[in-house]
Amino acid sequence: MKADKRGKGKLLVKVIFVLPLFLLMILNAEAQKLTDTISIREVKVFGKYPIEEAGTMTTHIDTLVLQTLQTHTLSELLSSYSPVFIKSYGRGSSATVSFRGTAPSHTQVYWNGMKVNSLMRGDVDFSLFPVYFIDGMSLQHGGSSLQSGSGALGGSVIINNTADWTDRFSVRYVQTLESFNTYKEYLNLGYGNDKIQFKTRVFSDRSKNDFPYFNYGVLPMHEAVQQNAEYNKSGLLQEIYTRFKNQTLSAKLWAYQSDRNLPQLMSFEGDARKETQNDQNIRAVLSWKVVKEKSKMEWLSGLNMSRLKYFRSSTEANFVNYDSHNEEQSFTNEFNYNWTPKETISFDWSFNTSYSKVSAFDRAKKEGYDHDRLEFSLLNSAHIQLLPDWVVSFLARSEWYDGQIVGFIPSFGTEYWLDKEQLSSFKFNLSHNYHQPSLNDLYWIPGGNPDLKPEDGISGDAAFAYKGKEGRAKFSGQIAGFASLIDNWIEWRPSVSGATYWEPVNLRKVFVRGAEIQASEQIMTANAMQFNLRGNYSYTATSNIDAVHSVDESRGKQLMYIPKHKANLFAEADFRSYYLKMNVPFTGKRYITSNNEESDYEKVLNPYWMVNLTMGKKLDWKRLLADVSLNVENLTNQDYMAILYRPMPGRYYSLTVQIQFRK
Amino acid sequence: MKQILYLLICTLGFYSCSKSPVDTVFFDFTGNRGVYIVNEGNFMYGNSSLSFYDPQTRHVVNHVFQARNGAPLGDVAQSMSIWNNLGFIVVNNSGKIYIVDSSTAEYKGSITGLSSPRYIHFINSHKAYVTDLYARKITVFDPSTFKVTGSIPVGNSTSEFSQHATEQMVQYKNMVFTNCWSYDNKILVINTESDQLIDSIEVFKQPNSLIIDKDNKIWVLTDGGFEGSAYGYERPGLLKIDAETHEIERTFRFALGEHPLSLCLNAGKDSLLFLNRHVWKMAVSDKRLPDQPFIQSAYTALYGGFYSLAVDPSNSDIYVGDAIDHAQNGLIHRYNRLGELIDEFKVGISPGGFAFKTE
Repeated sequence: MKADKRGKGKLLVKVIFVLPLFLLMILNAEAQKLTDTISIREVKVFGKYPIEEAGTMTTHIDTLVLQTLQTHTLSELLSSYSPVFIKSYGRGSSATVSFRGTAPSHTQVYWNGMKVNSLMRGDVDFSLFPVYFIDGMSLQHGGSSLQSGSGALGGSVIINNTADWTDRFSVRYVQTLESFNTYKEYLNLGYGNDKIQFKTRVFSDRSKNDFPYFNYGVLPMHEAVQQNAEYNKSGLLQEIYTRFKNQTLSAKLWAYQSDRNLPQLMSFEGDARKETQNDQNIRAVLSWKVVKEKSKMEWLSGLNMSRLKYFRSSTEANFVNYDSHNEEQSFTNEFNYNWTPKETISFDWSFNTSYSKVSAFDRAKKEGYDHDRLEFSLLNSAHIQLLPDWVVSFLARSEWYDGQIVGFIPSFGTEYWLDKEQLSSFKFNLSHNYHQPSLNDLYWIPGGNPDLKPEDGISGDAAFAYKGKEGRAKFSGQIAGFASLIDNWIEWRPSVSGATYWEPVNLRKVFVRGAEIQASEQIMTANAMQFNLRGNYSYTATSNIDAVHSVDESRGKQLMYIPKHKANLFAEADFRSYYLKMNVPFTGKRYITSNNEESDYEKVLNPYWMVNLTMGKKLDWKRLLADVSLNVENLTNQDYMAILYRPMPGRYYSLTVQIQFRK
Repeated sequence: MKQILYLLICTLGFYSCSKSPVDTVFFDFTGNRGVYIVNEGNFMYGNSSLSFYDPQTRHVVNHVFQARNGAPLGDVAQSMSIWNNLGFIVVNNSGKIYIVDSSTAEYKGSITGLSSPRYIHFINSHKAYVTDLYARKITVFDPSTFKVTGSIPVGNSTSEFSQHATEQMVQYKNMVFTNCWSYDNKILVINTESDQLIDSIEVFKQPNSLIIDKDNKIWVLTDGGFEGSAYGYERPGLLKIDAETHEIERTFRFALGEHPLSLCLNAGKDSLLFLNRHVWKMAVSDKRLPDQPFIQSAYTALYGGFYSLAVDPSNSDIYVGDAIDHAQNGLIHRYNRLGELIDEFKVGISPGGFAFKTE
């Protein structure tokens, strides 16, 4: 019997590993003269997880990955280790996401339970989250995101900070020296006992970012050095936790500042320009949790304040084009109650209210708007284990905002285990979600359209997840297919009235479908060697199925800048105190016209893959631990573009030293 | 272990691909009359391009500049002017002017270091003006050497808005008239011998285009700004100004919410054409705005109608640019002087400017 099972397991793993490679071959065949992929990826698969997660598509980012990328930003992490596509304007520049082929505002981000998306723009700049400030992270794909909140037509990113109750006194200092005059420093201080814990983290990341590149955007073409791309980011995260009997009280404060110069396109040859963006945000969350045998209760109160300043001027002409000051403040209160009368039944209720205020004003144009929004949200959900190997879940949200009621946002999920150990399962989820227009969509001057309707999405996914063990090897995988239909998709386009400004309209009906494959394997050998291998691959076709008029050729075509294929591979080998890590993300071809024009001169952005290599050694002097590593990014010196005519660096290096003391 | 090996081998396999450069394409439009279409592309996307259309053969070549010279045109190509077998392409947000041979599209040189250049007007073989949205000056350059030779300051320190942003130019005797569109309501008059600002004419808010007719009357189209603008928002208008006296002789008003643009002249310089969702036409002698469009667009609530307009100065053929969604290749409709459709062809993204090659 056992042997049989093992055989099945082997086969499965092979299927999971081979399938992406097979897809790759297809890819290669279709993309003439273009480089191509690799796939496979990380996993964290299910089984013995809480009943609340049954039937949901949730990916947990491994703490090993968080550790590996501690000196990077969240955008780099997602781009290298998840199926989420990151659209980055360059090294250090802002980065938005496309989760399952959707728009940036269709991904919601929750920091310790509080939504942190910009109410003005709807999106999140992922380059402003240092991985160092993250203790736990998960992705909720598609409809599974309704557990956290509505609006995530693509999915949600959940970021958490947690207490380490074993810490008595610890200091950790990390310093990185990187090419292009980049200096990163991180410090973590922790102390406390098993009743109270304090944790303080600070970081600084600054770079001149003056990387060399070949400028093929001007005549004559020439070797150039990136100009005006300096950035300086710093932040503080303070946490206090206290527990007492069955209660936990925690307070977290996040303060962050980023000052960036924004470089011009390769083709720019005009007079001196100053273009800068300054971001500041302060976030605070207070949480009180009571855990009883059959119930859990949490009250959460949060504050999120952010300020974004965008400035652009022609310095010689002393002409200020934009001097835009945007401020957002929101206050959130949430009450969650979970009741688990039996091990097989769990109910959740959650009530959330938030009040937000934004102010946008451009001092150069003397235009702007002030607006506020009050929202209420109610969640009812139930997870029921009908049979030992079968769980179903029902969820319904009701929301009220700006005087409108969205009465019923339902989701249904189910999971069926194929074995008693809960190693492999089938999952299915169907949901109806909607996304509110952002305040800029509604009120921006000029162009804001107060008559916009919310975007409306119906989505479903089905998945097969597997996890197993064979001798010294552990492996897991998940393969999922998804589809969603999003109506009233909001898009900014030139005013139909003929005015010179752009305006948002509920323009498109978008059909998104695709597949995600994740796999991982861990092998220990007898001679103190360990191998970790993770991979993932995602296929996303996102197309407009509602072209505007007869000559419009965008119908049925892939949306711009969203690749159909994305993959990444991570391999790690540990031998005694030495380690070698390789991370190979792949980004498929991206179209830059809505009708997917492609010829010698109709540019598409070519697919590219990066090879990043890290080698290091761990040193252990009992209470004092150290780690020295050398990292090579873009090992193959790939010349690529993430955005048309925005330069990206070739091969570059960094040296990281970490020292840790723990009492 | 085996699986790791497989993966490594596969990984290495992908290194072998390499990029093949695209060959240069040579063009010869010598002797052909034709029209260059300037495709603006999108702001900050760097995807503008140049197309050439031969009205005789009805043949269109797209991406002429990149095909011939190997480099992209730049970010937001605003306008093109042909002079002495040279094409001067103003690439607005790249802050430069690319100069090409108008018969071969071969790159001849560039004028760089500009702020936000818009249009070129040639005074003589050693003097040309470039207007600018931000610089608050008109740059003077020598079209024979491509060297900047001076500038004409046009700043207005009395306004709370950054004025004057200069746009299109027309010439009467030794005077160049230019409209100040952005947050402004002036027509500036420049003396072409002294390169001095000599007069300004106040018109309605936001004059977006101007022409000079057969009777030396200057016609100015104004768009009235936009709702919520700190500068104000009013009904768009059309004004007739005497080039000699600088007196406003007649004014017309559109309804609030209309957006007339792209004022053009027919070949006989006795009729005005402009866009206002559709193409409209009126004689310079008309006392009121036309009631019916001359050429109807397929305008709907989601589709904005026509984007750009130009008239062939030799035969009054009308070229209308349709940018569709501004994210795919635009469409050009070519009509004869009676408004009958002759041809349609695809060009680049957001076709906005036209330059007629008459040599």
